[in-house]
Amino acid sequence: MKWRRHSHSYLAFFCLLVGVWPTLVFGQEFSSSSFKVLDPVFWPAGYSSASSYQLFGNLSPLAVATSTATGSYGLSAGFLYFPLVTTPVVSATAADAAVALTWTAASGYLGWTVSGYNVGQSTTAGGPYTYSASLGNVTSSTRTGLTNGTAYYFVIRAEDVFGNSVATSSEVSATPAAAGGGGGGGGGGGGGSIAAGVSLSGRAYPLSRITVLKDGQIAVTTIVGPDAKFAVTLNGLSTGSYLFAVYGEDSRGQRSDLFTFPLYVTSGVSAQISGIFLTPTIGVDKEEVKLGDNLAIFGQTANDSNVLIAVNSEEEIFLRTQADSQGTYLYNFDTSVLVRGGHSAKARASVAGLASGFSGLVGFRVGNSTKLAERGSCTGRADLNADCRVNLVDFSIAAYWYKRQLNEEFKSRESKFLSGDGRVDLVDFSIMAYYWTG
Amino acid sequence: MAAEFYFKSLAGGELALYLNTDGQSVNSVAGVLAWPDELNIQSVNVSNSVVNFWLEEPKLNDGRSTVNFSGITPGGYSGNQGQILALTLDNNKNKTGLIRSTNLEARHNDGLGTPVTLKSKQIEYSIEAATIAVPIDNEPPEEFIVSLGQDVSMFNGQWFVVFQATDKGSGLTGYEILESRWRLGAKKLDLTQKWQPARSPQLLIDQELESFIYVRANDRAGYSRLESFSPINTAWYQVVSPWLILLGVIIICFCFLVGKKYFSRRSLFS
Repeated sequence: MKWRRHSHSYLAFFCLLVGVWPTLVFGQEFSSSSFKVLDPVFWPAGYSSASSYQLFGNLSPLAVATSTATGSYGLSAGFLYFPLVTTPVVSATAADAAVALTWTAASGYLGWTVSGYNVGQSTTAGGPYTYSASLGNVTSSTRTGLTNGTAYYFVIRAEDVFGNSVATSSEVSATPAAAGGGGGGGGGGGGGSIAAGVSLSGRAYPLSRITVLKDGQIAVTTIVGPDAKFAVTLNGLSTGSYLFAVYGEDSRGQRSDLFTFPLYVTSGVSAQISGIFLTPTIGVDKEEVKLGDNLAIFGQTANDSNVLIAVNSEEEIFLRTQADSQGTYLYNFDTSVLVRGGHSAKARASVAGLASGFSGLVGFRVGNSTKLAERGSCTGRADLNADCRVNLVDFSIAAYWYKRQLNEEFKSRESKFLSGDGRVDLVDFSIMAYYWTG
Repeated sequence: MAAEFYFKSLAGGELALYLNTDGQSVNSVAGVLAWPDELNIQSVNVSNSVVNFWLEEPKLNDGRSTVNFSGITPGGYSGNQGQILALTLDNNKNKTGLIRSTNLEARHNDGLGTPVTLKSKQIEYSIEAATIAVPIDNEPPEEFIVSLGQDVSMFNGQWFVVFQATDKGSGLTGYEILESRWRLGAKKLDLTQKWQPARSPQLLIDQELESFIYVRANDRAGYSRLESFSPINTAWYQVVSPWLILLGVIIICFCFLVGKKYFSRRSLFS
């Protein structure tokens, strides 16, 4: 069976969350050629109660085929597409009897709005955690009154407007130490103070290569484990603000989006950034597909992840598939539901309670003929010297022409690799920053 | 959603320009900074900026009280305290003035350079008084990479190097470059007077690419960081060990002397 107009259901659900409670909200009908189900109802968990009863709804992933009829159809309880929230990536920096936590904002999708956060704290790895009161819509908190020399473990919970937990981060740990006694950090960098260190960990693609950038320049590359997990440490840092970025390259050479994390590093102190989940890579097998033909949408993510693919059309279409044990996924998409013209797709992954953000867009056209997509790891965008990298060399070439009259040779390159407006300005450098590889 | 630039006074007599992205990912910013002539601005510091690469680095120009700035953040910045730059205010006690930032713009990290909606394209901050700022820095600039480049559209297709260092303490004063056919030790590099001021991209003197290229980044506190780039092509005398060359010279001299003696004896007996 096919679901129709499910986005209206989510709009309705969103309305429920933001203030129409406890009024029931009915979704749009959906049907197939052989049967019809009318008005599925969203019941957010635990929001409806009286002195004599309490209702727990089914805001949950799908339970497959809980009701069936002989041979003709299967009814799945719950809803195929439900709101998702990216899990925050958290950093912990130890201080004197305190730990400073910062995290990335969790972003809700399909109607879920993140309205605040709280911190779970424990002295045991894995919890149980004692949770703070809601901190409001902030992305940092300093936990004070801690015991120096004791390891503390933290998670960040994102909350919806009612204070319910909608996403929980990976665990991050730090051990407070008295001033001057901070652990970590490598040898001195030439000055009088002790260098700082930062360790980054998370998930990418099994046995792939990840690159860590420090302030836009390559700091280290490493190979990810077969379980898609990685952990790298950068030492020899000075006291100051840094922007760390991570990207991965899958087995086909396709790159993930850059994940960036700003962090203030303190001399002599090690910081930890935990729970990075790189966006899946995404590609299509056809640049142009004949209407009604299948389009293969594929890529790589962490092993056995659930992958949600969003296809841009008049109404956004959602496709679900699962990555295999190597993290690769493939969805053969029947394009007959699309109209002729330009479309795009993006993907996100979730596994083990963690959810990535959406990947960048991959474009394709639906038309009257089929043209296979060119295979190659280089997108070409912003790569002015065609070395499959976008870095300081490309930046310098473009900067040479910044606010200058372009010659014919560079005009053609600007058209091919940058904005194509016949000049080099901030727009072109913004494009370059997006495709940056270091 | 609307992003916002704002000024914030920092400890130590600094005034910083910040960006609040309002949950959006921003990868490029630009603007103009202006202040009254009577305000004594000591320096513009970008050592803690979220901008990693500058198209127009905000630097003080002699006598001018206006600076342009524009730059990018690869991968984008999302947050409410992204420092763009900081002004160090010196000897401004009992002086007041209005610092303005105008023509502000920012771009989304979306691969298209879409403009970010700003609350205002112009902001200002009133300086009441300031103390002398003494930046504390006892660390050298960060490690950096020297890369080789060549492009038909610039320097007539000749080879150049690019580099960019950062210094988290006092900020950089500049770069120096030295090209040498020989690998130089740290002591010799310290003593040599052949360093030349450099700026990325820097056109190379040795277009045969047979030289070691040394680039030195210097900070305001007097520390420096040295990085190098090895020759792409090597001349025969760079491949052979200097000791082997010396041995060869000794053998040639020895043969010459022996030969000379031998022939002079033969000429005596003949």
